[in-house]
Parts: sequence; C-alpha cells; structure tokens
Amino acid sequence: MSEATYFILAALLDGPLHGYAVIKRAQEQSGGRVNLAVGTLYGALDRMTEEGLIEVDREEVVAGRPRRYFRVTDSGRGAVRQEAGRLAAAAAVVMERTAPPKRAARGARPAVAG
Amino acid sequence: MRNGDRMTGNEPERKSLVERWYRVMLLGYPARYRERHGGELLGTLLESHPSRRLPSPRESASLLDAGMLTRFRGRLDQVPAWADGLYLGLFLLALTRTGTVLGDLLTTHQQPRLPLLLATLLVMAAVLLGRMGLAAATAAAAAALTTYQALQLGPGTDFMAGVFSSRLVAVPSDSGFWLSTGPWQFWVIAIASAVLAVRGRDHGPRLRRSAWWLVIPLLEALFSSYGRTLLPTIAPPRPLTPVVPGSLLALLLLPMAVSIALLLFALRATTATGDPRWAIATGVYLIPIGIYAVALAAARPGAIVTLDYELPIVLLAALIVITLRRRAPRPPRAAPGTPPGR
Repeated sequence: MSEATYFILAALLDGPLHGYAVIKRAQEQSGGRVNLAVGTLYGALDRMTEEGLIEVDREEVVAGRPRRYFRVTDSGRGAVRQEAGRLAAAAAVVMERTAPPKRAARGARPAVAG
Repeated sequence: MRNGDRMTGNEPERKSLVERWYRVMLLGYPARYRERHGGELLGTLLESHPSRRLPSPRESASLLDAGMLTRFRGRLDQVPAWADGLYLGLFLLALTRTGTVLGDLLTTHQQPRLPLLLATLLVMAAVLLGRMGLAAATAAAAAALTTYQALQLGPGTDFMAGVFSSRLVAVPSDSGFWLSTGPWQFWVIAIASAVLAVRGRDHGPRLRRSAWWLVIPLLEALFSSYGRTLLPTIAPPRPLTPVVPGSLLALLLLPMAVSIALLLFALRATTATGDPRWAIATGVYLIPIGIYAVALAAARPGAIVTLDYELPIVLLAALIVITLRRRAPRPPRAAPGTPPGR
C-alpha cells in the first residue's frame, strides 16, 4: 500500500470527507509529509473506489460546484488496519533493538549482600 | 460578489486566469470524465490554493499525468490488451506509411503512383474508423501492389537504410525486395487488421481513434519531404534532400520532442497499470524493421547493422521489463514480528 493510499484511508476513518478535506487531513496526520496534488488525489480516489476500499457517501453542490464526499468501506478499513499492523510490526523490530537498556540493566544487576 | 472576490480589486481577474489555466490542463482527461468531475476538480484546485496569483506547476503536472492515466485506464476495461496493442501498432504503421507516401507526393524525385496513393489513404481512413475488414482488404491490395513494384523495380528510395544503416557495405540489388519497407508495413497492417476483423465487434467496442491523430501523417509528410522523420523507425533517405528553410529550423526539434513524449507516455502508462498493450503495439510496429534487419544480415553477413533510431527498441525492451515486473506474483506478506522483505 502506498503512503498516499494509507493516509487517504486514515483520513476517512473518522467519517466522510470531500476532496479538499482529505488533502488537509492527510497533510495533518502525516506531519506535512503527504501533500497530495489534486490530480493525484482524485486519481487515487477513483482507483480506490474501483477497488472497493472507499465509496461515495453523498454529493453536494457548494458555490455552484459539485462535491463528492467519500467514506471508507469495511474492506478499506480492514486494509488500512492490516497495513498499520504491518508497519507497527516493522517498527517494533527496530524499536526493540534500539531502546535504551535501562530497566534490563537494573534488573540484571546482582543484589549486594549485607 | 463572493467573499473571496472582495479581498482585492484584482481577485476576479487572478482567479479567472488560474481557473482558465486549470481548465486547459483538465483537457487531458477524457471528455466524459471532465463533464462529470471537472467542476469538482476545479473547485478543489481553487480551494487548495486560494491566494495563488499564478497556476501551480505541481498541480498542472499532476493534472496532466492523472488525465493521461485516466484515459489509459479507461481503455483497459473496454478492450483486451492484445487487441488494443495490435490495433495501436498497426495504427502507428498506417500513420507513418501515409506520412511517407504523402511526403513522396510533396517531392519531385519519386512521385507515388495514384493507385498506391489512394490505397494508402483508404487504409488510413479504414483503420482510423475501425473498419478492420476494409482495412485488411485494402492493405492486402496495397501490399500486393508494393510487393510487385519492389520485385520489379527494387526498393527505390523507399528502403530503411536510414534506420538500419550499413554505411560501409553496399546492399546487393537482388535483396532489394526484402529491404523494402512499404510491402512489409502493408502486410503487417493487412494481417493484423484481418485478425481484428475476425475478432469482430461482438467482443467489445469498435476500435477507433480520434481524427486528431491525422496531424501525425501530415507532419510526417512535411518532415519526410525534407529527408527527416517525425516518428522513429521510418527514415526514407532522399537522394536530393531540399534545404530546410530557416523558418522551419525550430521544427526540427519536434521529432525529438515527439519521440521522448511517446517514450514517457508509454513508460508511465505501463508502470502505472502493468498492462502489456503498449509493449505489444511497439512490437507490432517494429516487425517491418525486424524483417529488414534479418534481410540485411542475410544479404551481407559481414555487415554491421546499426540502428540509427534506437528509441523503439529501447522502448520495447523497457516496456516488456516493466510489464513482467508488474505482473510478477508478489512475495507473501511477512508474518507479524518479522522484518519486511525490503
């Protein structure tokens, strides 16, 4: 799963959003790393709709322009959750080996007699 | 007046300039997609960059890229890869063949004969409109005519020494037929059209292309009359190449731009979709060249065959590699707790 797909799905977990709101939410949740161009966003939204990861929740007309709201499907929710688990497992491999050995060192210290 | 328009006196003009620009960029999308979602994309674009005085280059490039991919993806569901690739390959052959014949018409040293000219134009029209049965019959007639001419007269000026050139070795006259491009191009068009005609209309929408593609043979004719080519692989050398007028010198960069654009479009589409149709099209387009290479190698085993226009070969190889890589089965996912594969 690409980073853009991941953060689009993550943006929609809290409820349906329209295109511009997805851009802003993905930007916030990724710490500014994912800044989707509009063409890229709608290309991804169309593809993800075809794949059944998201679906159109409703359509509105705002300031004379149509606007679709997208929501994540159960399939999309499961996919992003699985990806998050994979990322967490991959992160744990590093974090477990690079964590400061404070507690382990204290626990291993032999007790002083007396 | 909307709230945003009250910000400054120039705001409406700025917005309209940006909006007009983005509307042009949206032309890259298929018309039907533009009708349904163009307004939404435009609204999001203007909402994303409310204070921009000039259009964003990043957004513009993204729109062009996404529009092109939307067009490509639209064909994926409609037409099977083999049929669309076959059609695109023979369509490109028909375009360049028409351009070459029209280029002959513009020059004085080798005028095409009227039956061949008419047959070529008819093949082009039939292929463009998706009348594959008519295209097959006409192309077969044109192939027979050019085959007869090549056997009687030799390749004349219409051979592919500009593509595969053996600069130090003269080509023997008895292999002239094999080194003629016209017959092979027409035979490939005829056979491929016949295959598509047999496939019939029951297996999907009619294969056809926009009339805008006719710009290519017209430009090809112009370049061909000056001893150059627009698309790679067709380079009929002229014994008397006219001097290019100064006003047209800038146009000589156009073939390079067209070739690079074709390369990038095909690579981008194949990378994004993993679909083999562009590889198939390039392969079909290169069949006449392959026959020429074999004929030249057989006629002169010691000849070093050089390819002056490497792009199609490079493109074909790259497309095949990308297609195979994209289609390769993905490795199983790593179990939780184990490091990912890469």
